[in-house]
Amino acid sequence: MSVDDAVGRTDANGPETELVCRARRGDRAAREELVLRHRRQVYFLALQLLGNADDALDVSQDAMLRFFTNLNRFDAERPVRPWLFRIVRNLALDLFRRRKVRQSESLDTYDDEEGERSIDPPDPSVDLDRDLMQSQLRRRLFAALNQLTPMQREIVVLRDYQDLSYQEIAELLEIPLGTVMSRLHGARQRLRLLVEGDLRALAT
Amino acid sequence: MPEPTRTAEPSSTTPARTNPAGTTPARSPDRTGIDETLLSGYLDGNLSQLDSQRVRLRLEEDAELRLTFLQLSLLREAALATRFAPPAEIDWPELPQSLPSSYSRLAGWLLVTGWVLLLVVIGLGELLSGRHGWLELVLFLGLPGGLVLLFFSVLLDRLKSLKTDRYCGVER
Repeated sequence: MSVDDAVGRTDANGPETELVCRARRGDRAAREELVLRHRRQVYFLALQLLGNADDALDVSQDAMLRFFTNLNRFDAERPVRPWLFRIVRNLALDLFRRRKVRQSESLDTYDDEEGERSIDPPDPSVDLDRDLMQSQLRRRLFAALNQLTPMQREIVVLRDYQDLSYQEIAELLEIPLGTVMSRLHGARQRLRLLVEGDLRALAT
Repeated sequence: MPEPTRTAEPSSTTPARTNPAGTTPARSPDRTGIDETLLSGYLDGNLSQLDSQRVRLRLEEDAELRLTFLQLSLLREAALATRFAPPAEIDWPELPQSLPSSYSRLAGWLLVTGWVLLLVVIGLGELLSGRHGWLELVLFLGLPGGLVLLFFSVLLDRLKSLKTDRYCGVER
């Protein structure tokens, strides 16, 4: 199974070949359907790679625009999502290169009703509810992504946030499987150190 | 969880890996008995049976390694459980124009512009011929003349915004 087949597994709304062909012919409904199918995932990937909502929205718009602009070059037999992921990834890297991406406003980007936004280390004397600690870990973890290199960040995002397999990541990033594992482990180790306080609190 | 696949060489044959910048150096196989990189492969179910067995044994024996593994597991769980808020409906990426809609819009603008210009030219000709009074000319030229001015002002604004608008080729 190729990465395109694999990543495209989430295209659960049926084959997209016909949609892509119709979109190429200028069918507005088909284009809208493609946008509706993929825009959330495109936005979330951009958000995870970049760490703030404004940049993520910009990149999402650019990615969609490029997708439709180059639709005639796209093999309609292949699933759309991996192609979009590549576009998003390349645009995010471009953005990193052009300027240092605005540091995380990411605490505002969670779909989480809890209002805990403290960035102080957890106080072990306070008997925090486990759910609250987990919520805090998620926030800190996402904020800590900003302290990784773009290369480390993208591999953690693809594996741990997007849940792609090693094979899919290897094909997306065009690196060997062994490199996926070593790069991923290096990134995870660095993240582990960055949120060690929260991890210790949860592990005990 | 992906299907377990063989992705890493056995630790005995694994060449020394270069750590990405800023990472903690993996503990050497001499100290832990395994290449610590295999921990991530084990966590993700991506090791061969032999390597999995080796990691499992080391985890049973090494409390520090066990703690590291537990923390890596918590990290992955936390990442997978993170939910993100989508942007407001109004902010979603816009849909690029299709070719037919672009062409028909262009044709429409050309038609309207040509009609207005023709009307103005004819009106001016009539004005210069002196065959009509001022009231007739204002009645005749007022609307197209006003449209020309309005169109011109919109055109100026559009030309100005084109220089900065990256998304001029898309429509909502």
